[in-house]
Amino acid sequence: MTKQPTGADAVWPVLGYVLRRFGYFAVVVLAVYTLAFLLLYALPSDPVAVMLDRRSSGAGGSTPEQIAELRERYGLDEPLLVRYAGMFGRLLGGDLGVSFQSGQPVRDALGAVAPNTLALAGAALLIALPLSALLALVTSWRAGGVVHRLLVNVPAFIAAIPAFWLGLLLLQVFSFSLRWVPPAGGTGLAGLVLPAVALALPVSAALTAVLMRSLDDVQRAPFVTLLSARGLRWRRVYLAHVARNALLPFLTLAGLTVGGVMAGTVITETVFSRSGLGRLLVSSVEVQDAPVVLAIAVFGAVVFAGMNLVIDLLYPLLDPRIRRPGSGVLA
Amino acid sequence: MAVDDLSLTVPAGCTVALVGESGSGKSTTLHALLGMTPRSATVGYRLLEVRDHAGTALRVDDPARLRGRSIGLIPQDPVRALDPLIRVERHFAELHRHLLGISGRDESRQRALDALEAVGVDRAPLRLRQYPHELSGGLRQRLLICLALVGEPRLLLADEPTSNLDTSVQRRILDLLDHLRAQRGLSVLLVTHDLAVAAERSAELVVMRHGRVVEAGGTATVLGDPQAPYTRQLLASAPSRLPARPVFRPHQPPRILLEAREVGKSFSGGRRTEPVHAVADVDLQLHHGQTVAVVGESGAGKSTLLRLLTGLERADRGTILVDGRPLGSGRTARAGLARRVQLVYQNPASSLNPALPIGRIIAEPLEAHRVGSAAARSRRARALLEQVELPEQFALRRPPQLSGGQLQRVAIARALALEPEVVVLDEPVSALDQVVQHALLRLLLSLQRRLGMAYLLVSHDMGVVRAMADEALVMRRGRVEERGATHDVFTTPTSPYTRALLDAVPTLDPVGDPAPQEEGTAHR
Amino acid sequence: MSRPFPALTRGACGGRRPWAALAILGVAGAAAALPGLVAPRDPLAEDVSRRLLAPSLHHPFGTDELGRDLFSRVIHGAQASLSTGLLALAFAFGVSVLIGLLAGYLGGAVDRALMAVVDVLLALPSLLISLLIVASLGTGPLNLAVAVGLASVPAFARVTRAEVMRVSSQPFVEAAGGFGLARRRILVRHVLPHTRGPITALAALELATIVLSVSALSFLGYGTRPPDPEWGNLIATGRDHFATAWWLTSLPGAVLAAVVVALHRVGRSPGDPGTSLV
Repeated sequence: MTKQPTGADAVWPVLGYVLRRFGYFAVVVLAVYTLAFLLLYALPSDPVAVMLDRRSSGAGGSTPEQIAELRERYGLDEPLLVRYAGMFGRLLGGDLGVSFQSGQPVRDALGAVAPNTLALAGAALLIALPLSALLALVTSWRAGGVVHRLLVNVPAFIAAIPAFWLGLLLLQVFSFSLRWVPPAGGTGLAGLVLPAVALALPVSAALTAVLMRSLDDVQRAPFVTLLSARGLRWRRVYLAHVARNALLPFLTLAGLTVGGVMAGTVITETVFSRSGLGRLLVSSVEVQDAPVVLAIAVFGAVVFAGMNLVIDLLYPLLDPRIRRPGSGVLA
Repeated sequence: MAVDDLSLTVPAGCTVALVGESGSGKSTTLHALLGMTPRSATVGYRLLEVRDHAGTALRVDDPARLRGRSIGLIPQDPVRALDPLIRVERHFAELHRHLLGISGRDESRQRALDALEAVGVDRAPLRLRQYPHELSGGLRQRLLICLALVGEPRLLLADEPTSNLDTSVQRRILDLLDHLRAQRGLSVLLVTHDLAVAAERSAELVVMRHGRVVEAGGTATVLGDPQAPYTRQLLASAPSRLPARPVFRPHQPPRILLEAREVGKSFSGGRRTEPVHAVADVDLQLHHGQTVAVVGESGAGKSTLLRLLTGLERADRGTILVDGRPLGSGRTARAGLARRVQLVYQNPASSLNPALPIGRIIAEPLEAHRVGSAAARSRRARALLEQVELPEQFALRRPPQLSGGQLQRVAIARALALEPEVVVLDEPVSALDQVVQHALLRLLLSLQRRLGMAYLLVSHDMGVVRAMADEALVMRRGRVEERGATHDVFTTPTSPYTRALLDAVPTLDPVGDPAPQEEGTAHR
Repeated sequence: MSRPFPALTRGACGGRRPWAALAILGVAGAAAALPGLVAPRDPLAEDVSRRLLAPSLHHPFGTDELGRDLFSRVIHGAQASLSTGLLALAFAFGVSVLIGLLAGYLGGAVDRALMAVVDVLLALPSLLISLLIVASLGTGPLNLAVAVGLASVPAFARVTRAEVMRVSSQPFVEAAGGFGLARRRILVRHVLPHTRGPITALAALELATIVLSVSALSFLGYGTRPPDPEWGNLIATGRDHFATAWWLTSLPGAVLAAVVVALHRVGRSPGDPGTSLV
């Protein structure tokens, strides 16, 4: 128990851990692909019928030849399992298929709007992470203090506000009443601020609530009392010990944060009429454009599971307790 | 009011013990001395004075200023008392920097090494690189003592410093405290629930109850001639004061109720680690009407053995016989076992469903085995309550309305409902205050006398074993270290391990000479 | 002496009953159950002479672009929003409690298999799962309920399992097995009663999330279609005029927010079965 892991002793469990985390990443992505495939292609609702219904709206029926031709073009005439495997192979090769709706390659459609979404998500994270950390640190400075009692319920309250409504309120106040920022569809930094804030607020509310609880829990740990009893100032104890310990559970949530931001872009882009992956997803879902929906779902899974992978790999570097070979996490 | 009207003086170079049951205000007192009470508490002082080296009294207005430099605190639970994320060296470095203003890495390191060596920590350079979770409980407690001493306080507050440690480790830590006190002229305020620890280690004794001082004075005086009724009660209930179990001499060898033959159980500790042999090749026989005690330190395999014998876990090797027949699996076998062997858990609060009335709890085994009508079961439950000396009205109350001692009586009543031949007692009194312990042990003895069942007792407390058991089984690392009649094991132990275990138990009787007797034992 | 019972039913430290929250939910529930009695006007009656009127005594929430009374539309919208929400919750609750109980009580291989699936699903934002299901089933309130309900199963099932495990690991459950009580009776008498409180509290919190998701998806146009009112679609249609008529988005949104906040409050308060909506 008191032995330090050295040399070869330490390498194998660590390598095993890393491999397992990568394996988990692959499993999640594959599972999401499978789920999406089953929902979009294996259920009785026929995508071609839906597609034709949309395209030839009101222009009379389509001939059986047309249907057969479309089926062939989209590979829908092959057995399900063949399509499942083939499509996954093409996805791995970067071929995301062709949109039912527009007939364009999905890859181009995604590529055109992805930078907008990444900019929005990045800006939102840049706001949400420092904001929630700061808010939580200020609130939990003194458990039971005035600040704590005032602020402790604010995050839960903000998290309960519908995100799309919050976006509309922000637009109403800052674009229409105060005219500080351009209303919708704005480009450049000025157009990015309001959507990013609207996206960041609910996310940071959830993060703040968790970090606050974590800080409060750590403060009750005996070692914190003891550090104070040894004569260290509270500022030192709080920042060097409490905050650091509380940050660990917070880190595991960063993955969820990325997920929340991703889901949030769907709403925010619609509210602010920005083009992006979220809005593309919304319109594709409405017309049941399966290839686009599937591609975005798998993209989301890769980002999300990738984020979790990075955190899982970082975690042992930050918490010595799970670095020990033979302990539950590494074994 | 947690603590009321308390006056306390700790003379220089002297140990004062603060003794009392849980909730008597011991810990509150310690925290008040450091100005560390929760916000909901108000603390009033008439006078708080600290004397400097020359003996001049300095009045203290803000007790927070005493922390670290005048008063050091040693906590109860060494497991969670250290920041888990930083190495031992950083624990020192932080205090050196912020308390003493030493920022040089080498100087800080040298001081830390010296300090660790002074408290008998071996391989100090290695320890500095380790994280808290890599240290054993005893090492952690030594480290905590070191850290408390960094600011060179003149008074150490020790808050039950050894109650979570095994007896042998407890002895070494207390020796260390005595040694440091003598060497550096420290004063120690030792908070403990164990009168024997206080008797061995302190020069002065303060007995607390319900937040008030019941009696105070020189340890020898107080223990030799206690004035307050509570102190007398406390002394009389000490486990070592229980009469030893009379020697068991049956006319003919009684029936064997429960037998284990070369029983073993291992747990795998992960893919690349050796399996842990929690129990290995243990033989045990429990005769009708007899009490066998299983003794040992934490990790000795006592609990696993008990779970094997009660069918809660399956043995990997060996056989367990109940009334001469092997312990089977399946529901009928379990039901049959339940009628013969019943278990009383260590913590009564968690072993009773808090939502059910006491009467239902006691009658539930009867219900499970469809014994009698509902009315008959309820009558039986009331009769059982009477047997464990609880009022009948308790049948309608629920567990949260009862105290720990009362709950354990309920648990015993439930265990007796099916009239089993064997009752297995898993540390039955260790969660209770000493006075309550005493009453409960007497109850268990009188029940056995009246009803004649056999007890299998698991305990770490030598005093309890001496009073309860006919036969003792000393376990160490899953194996039986020594076995025999309790009297023989206690008076003439053959194994050095047993002897060390017995020697480590603090005793009330040779009232403590506060000076450390064996200087050397602190360093190992 | 401190009682040795660390509250087995969680959240039991809240103290006061959340009267204000319960009142809000009561009003919302009444509106959803009997909108015809509560609403002053017909939610679909158009009146071109009264277009886009600001809130007044006559029209507490103002009127929309077709002169319909917004207050009446919000009240009728409660029915669509909350019934879809409750349907989704019933769906989520049924599936997750079953999964949670099976996994938590049986343990072993069943537990590992179920939790592996749940963990993978948990690794996705629930909105994405909902959207996938909508993309598969098509739009409409019923499909929306299924989509939102299914999407909240993973989290719900995880917590249910954790609750069952927490109670099952209590020594009194083991003790009940030790004196020979049958497993089924242990589950019914010793495990379930202690999980009921936390799980119903959780259901209230889950309903809050579900109502939010339902309205968000309706806002995106997947649920109840105009002219029938629903909170999400009211806000969506209000967007077209919101530079001039602030009340069209703000007031339905405020009502929605109030209900969600109230559900949160009830979910966090003492787990009294009488106060939860299940």
